[in-house]
Amino acid sequence: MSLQVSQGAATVLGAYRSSLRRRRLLLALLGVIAVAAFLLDVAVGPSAMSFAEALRALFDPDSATPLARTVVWQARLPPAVMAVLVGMALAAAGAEMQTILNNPLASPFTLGVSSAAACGAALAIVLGLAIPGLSPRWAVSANAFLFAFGAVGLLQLVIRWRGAGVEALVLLGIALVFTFNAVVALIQFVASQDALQQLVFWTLGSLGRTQWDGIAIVAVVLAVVIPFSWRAAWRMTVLRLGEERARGLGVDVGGLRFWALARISLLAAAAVAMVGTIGFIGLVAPHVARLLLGEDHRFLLPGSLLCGAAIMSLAAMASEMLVRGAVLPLGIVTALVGLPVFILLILGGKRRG
Amino acid sequence: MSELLLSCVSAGYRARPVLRDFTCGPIPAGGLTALVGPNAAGKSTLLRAIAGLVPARGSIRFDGRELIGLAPRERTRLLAFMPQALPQDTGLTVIEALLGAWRALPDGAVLYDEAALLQRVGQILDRLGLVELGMAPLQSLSGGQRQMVALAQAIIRDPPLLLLDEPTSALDLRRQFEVMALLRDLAREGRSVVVVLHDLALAARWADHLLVMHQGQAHSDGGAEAVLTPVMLRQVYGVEARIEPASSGERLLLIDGISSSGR
Repeated sequence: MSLQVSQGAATVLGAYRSSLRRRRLLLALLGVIAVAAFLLDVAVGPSAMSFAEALRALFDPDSATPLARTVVWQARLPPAVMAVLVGMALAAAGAEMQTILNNPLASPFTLGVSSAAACGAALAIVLGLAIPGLSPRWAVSANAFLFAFGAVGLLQLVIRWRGAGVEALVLLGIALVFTFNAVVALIQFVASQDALQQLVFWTLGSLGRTQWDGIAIVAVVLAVVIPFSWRAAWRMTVLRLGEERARGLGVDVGGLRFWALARISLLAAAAVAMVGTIGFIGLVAPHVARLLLGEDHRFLLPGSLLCGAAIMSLAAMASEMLVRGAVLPLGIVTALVGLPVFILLILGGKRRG
Repeated sequence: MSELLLSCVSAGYRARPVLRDFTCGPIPAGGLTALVGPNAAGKSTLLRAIAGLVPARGSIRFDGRELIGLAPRERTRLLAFMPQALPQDTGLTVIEALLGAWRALPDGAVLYDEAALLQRVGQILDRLGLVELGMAPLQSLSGGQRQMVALAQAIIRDPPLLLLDEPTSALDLRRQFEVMALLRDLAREGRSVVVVLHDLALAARWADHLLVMHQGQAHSDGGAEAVLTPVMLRQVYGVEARIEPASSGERLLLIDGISSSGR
C-alpha cells in the first residue's frame, strides 16, 4: 500500500507528534511534582524537626539522631507512603469510572463503594461481626473491603443478568448508597457512645492507623490492577466517543465495562478499607490530568496516578499543618479543598459547553 | 467476488422483534448498495444485525463465512459499522479518534507500528478532506464534520464490508456529493458497501443496487430503474409519486400527495 500523504497532512501529523512529546514531558514534570510532594509530606510534621534533618534521616539514616530516625521512619513514612498509594488507587479508579459511566463528575464512590465499606466497618465496630479466624486488628478493614467489593459485584451481576445499560447501573448504584446509609444509620442508632465515636472517626478517613502490612496490600492491588487498566487504554479511549460507536468499531463494551468496574471496585475497596472514606481525590485528580493531558487514556491514566499521588501527599501535609499540634482527619481536608475545586470544575464545564 | 447473503434473518430488541425471516437476493460486492424504506422499516436493525450489535437468528453469510455466531475478533476484521448517532462531545482530537478506531481492535496494537499507522491516518485525512481538523477536539466540530470523522473511523481499517447508517444525514450538498462519490469508489475497488439512505434521489443517483425494506421484510431489490416505481412508492411509502426523466438523463422523483389506500 502506498502511504504518501499531502504536505498539509504531514504538517498536522507533525503537530500530533509534538503533542505526544509535550505530553510525555508533562508526565515527567508531574512525576517530579509527585516525588517533591511526597518528600514534603515526610519532611513536614507536628514534631519540632528541621526540614533538612528530616530529609537526612530519610536518605541517610545512619547519620541522623536516633530520635529523628524513629520519627521519620516509624511515624511519618508509613502514612506518607500510604497517602501516595491511596491517592494513586483512587485517582486511577476515578479516571476509569468517569469513562465507563460517560460522566466527568463520577468518582470511585459513585456506585456506593464508600457507603458499603462504611456499612461493613460499622458491623465490625459496633456489632462485632467479623470474619471468623481473622486477627481482630484486621476485622474492620476486612469487613469494609468485602462490603465495598461485594456491593459492586452485586451490581455487576444484576446488570449482566438483565443486560441493562449505564443508566440502570447508576440508578442501582444510587439505590445501593441509600440502602447502606440507612443500615449504617440504624447501626449508629443502637451503638454505644464509644463505638459510635470510633465509627465516626473511621468514616472521616485518616492515615493515622497506617501499618506496613496495610501498605503492602494496597501496593499489591495497584501492581496487579494497573497493568490491566493499561491494556484496556485504547478501548477506553474509543469508548469516549460513545458506546454505540465503540461497539461499531468492534469493542466489546459490556465486557470492557465489566472488567473496568472490577478494577475500580478492587482499587477503591482496598483504599477505603485501609484509610476510610477519602473523597474528591478520585474526582479531582482525573480532572486535573484530563485538563493537562487530554482524554487519550495512554496519558490520562498515568497522569491521574501522578496527580492523585501529588494531591494526596499535599492534602496529608495540610492535614498536619492546618491546626497546630493536631492532625485533622484527611477526609475532612480533601473534602474542604475538593469542594471548591469541584464547584469550579462544574461551572467551568458549563461555560465551555 | 464476495457476496453478502441474507436468509431468514430474525432480529430485534427485547420486547420488539423488528426483522422476521428477512430474506433478500444476494448483495453484490464491487457495488454500492442503498438500503431504503420508510421509518421503522428495519433498515438500521438489519445493519446492526449484520454488524453483530443485535442478536440475530437465521443466516448472514459474507465471503463464504457465516457471520451469526462469529467471534467478535473475526467479525471486526471483515466489517466496520458506522452508527447513525454522531460522535459525542469529547476532548479527543480527530487524529486520536482515528488512531483509536484502529488500536481498539483486539489485535490492533500489533498490526501496524505507530509510524505506519500515522501515515495511514494522514492518508485518510487527505481522502476525506479533514486535514485542517486533525488536531481539533471533536467537541469543537460541527455535526457534519463529526459525521466525516465517523466515516473516517469506519474506513481507516479498510475492511471488505462497510455498513453505514445514514452517513450523509448531517452533510451539506457538496459534502454529500463527495461522500457518495467516495463510497462508490470504495465499492468499485471491490468492497461491499451497504448504506442506509433516506434520500431516494441520492440513492437513485449513486447506488448500483437498491434494497427496499418495508415492515421488516424485503420489498424489492435491483437497479434504480427497476425498483424506483410509482407502485413501490405507493405500497411502501404511502405516497402518490411520478418518476420523470430530467433533461440530464437523471430520473426525478416528484411527490404529488399522500395515497388514500396507503399504509
